[in-house]
Amino acid sequence: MKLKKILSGWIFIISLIFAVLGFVSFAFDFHFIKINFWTGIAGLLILSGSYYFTSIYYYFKYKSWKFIYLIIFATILIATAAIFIMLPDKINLWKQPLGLFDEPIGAVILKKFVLNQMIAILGVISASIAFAPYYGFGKRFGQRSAYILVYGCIVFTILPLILIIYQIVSNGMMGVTWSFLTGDITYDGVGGGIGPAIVGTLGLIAVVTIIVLPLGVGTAVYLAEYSERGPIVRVIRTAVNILQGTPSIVHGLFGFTVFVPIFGPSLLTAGLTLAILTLPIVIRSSEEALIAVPDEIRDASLALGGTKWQTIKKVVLPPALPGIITGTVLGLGRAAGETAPILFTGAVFFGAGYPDGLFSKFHALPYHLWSLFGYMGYKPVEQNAWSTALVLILIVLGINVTAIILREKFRQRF
Amino acid sequence: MINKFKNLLQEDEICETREMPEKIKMIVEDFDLWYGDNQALKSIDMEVEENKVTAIIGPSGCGKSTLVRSLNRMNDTISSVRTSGNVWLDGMNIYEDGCDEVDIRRRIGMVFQKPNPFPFSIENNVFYGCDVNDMDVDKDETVERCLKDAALWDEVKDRLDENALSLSGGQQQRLCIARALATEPEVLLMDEPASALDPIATAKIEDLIDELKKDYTVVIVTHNMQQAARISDYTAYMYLGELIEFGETEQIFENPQKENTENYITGRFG
Repeated sequence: MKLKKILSGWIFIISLIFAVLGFVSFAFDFHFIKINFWTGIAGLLILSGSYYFTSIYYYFKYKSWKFIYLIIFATILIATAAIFIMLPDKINLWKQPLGLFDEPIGAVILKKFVLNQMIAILGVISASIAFAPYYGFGKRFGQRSAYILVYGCIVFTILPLILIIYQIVSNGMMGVTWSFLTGDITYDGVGGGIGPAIVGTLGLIAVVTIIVLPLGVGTAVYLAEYSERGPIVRVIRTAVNILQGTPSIVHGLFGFTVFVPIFGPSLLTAGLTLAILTLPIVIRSSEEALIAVPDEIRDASLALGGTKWQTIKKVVLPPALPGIITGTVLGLGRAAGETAPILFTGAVFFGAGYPDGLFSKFHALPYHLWSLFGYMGYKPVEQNAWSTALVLILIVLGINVTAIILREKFRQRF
Repeated sequence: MINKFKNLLQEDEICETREMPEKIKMIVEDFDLWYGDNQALKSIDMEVEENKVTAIIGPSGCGKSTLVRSLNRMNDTISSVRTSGNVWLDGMNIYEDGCDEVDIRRRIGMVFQKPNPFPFSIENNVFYGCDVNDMDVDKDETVERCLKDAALWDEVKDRLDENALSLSGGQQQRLCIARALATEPEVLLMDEPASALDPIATAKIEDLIDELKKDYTVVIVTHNMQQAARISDYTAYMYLGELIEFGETEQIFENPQKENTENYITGRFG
């Protein structure tokens, strides 16, 4: 009994180490933790050996085939190891060096992520299998595995975010200097800075806010407060949903054909196009915030002789404000990062300088980043690209943090 | 200035008028109400006497809340509602097209089943009605008068700027009553005002209603028969959308004319 506990505890720990190693190397690529090929194989063999031992030990001690599945699993592990050993070096990605920009992106992803992810998943599976004999089956085990599964989901959800931020910060940080932030954009993307692009993006956000806030909140107030169920509202709602589902490049083409002939390629044109893109987000979140205000306080206001508009203005909008602000700012964050809609409507790569009015062409961070991709592989441009990405992410992050702060500030409980 | 303009507008509106019997504040006359195809009130006839408490009792779903909400046209907010018949307030038909339902609601205050204070400060809650009706009154005075009338002044006088939601349920309900008093209504409608409260808070509300009837006409919906017997002067008994019996409370409880009323009052159903 004691041996059983020690044994499965031991397997559990080994498996956990593998799981952690796998996850860490997956998350932070191969820069500082590297599972050596032969170490990996040795781990697999140790693991499967201990599985064999456990199940055979159980058979002789308790005359039970309860852990027969461990034998099957161990065999699979050994087969995997054998396949890895027998693979020719040329196609065994695990044995090859890694580079990011000198290889097709597919191969890089496969090497960097898939193999490590596989180790991680193997580790998790091994850990949970070893977990079973350690704690015994039954309710408790079910409860624990459900818990672990749910946690696993969380990990897999935030992992990409951590990964993206880590990549961008580690690569972009050294390029972000004062001269980079304020410098002018050069014609070939080498050296210089992104000052005009930052100002352009901020200006764009301002234009979008001014257009989208009254339109979006107004529509939401109509939908939530004035409209009655019927064909008109259904049409409006469907239109909003379709608008939300429309690819952003289509918005860009729309802006190109409708707004560019009127205002020319300019900050205003791009702002209008982005506003249309953002509108559904603002409408939906505002409407939800308005609907969340309980009907009782609407009734209270009406019963006191308030008109419908007074009720909306004084009683419904204030508590809905945090939700409206959050939705709007999240929409703005989306707008700030969009490339396709500004592609045809006013953003340029070189030569616009700082925007000097609503009708001037402008630089914007996402478009600048997209343009720099054309030079990828050339190190100085690459550095600029990473740093631009970092600044863009910081701006979007800043917008979202603002949303959270504003929401907390205006929060009212019911 | 705005008030003058408003009065000017209202004088132009022609409301149907009629003579009212003495001491009668409101008359409900052959009143029907439908939610879509479902008839909730069936030709109700009822009178509300001035400075008295009129209770409406009946089993759940009998239409008593619907009736009381019809008295200040709160049912207008539900789009599927249709009505026919008249409700007279001081000789004026409030269901006439020319009648301004917003002004009607100022004159006929309402307290709801669930305490529903606005999520802002206590004094702004009380003053809200004066604010939206552009009433030319002193804020501090009004707040003090209404809170005193609602027997809440002593408990909240030191924290008038606190959020109304920090009050207890019973205090919130009395605040809602104070809020309804601020617009100087003539009639006060109460839709089961004590059903969400504990016995002590209920007793306070009942005492309050007794005080209020000196200045106001009160119509109260309740499914608590003892409460109706304790506080009301007149009682209306409703069943399945019909007004089965209406009369003085004593008579209804001690000597009901209809068998249905007697069954309900003696607790055989409901």
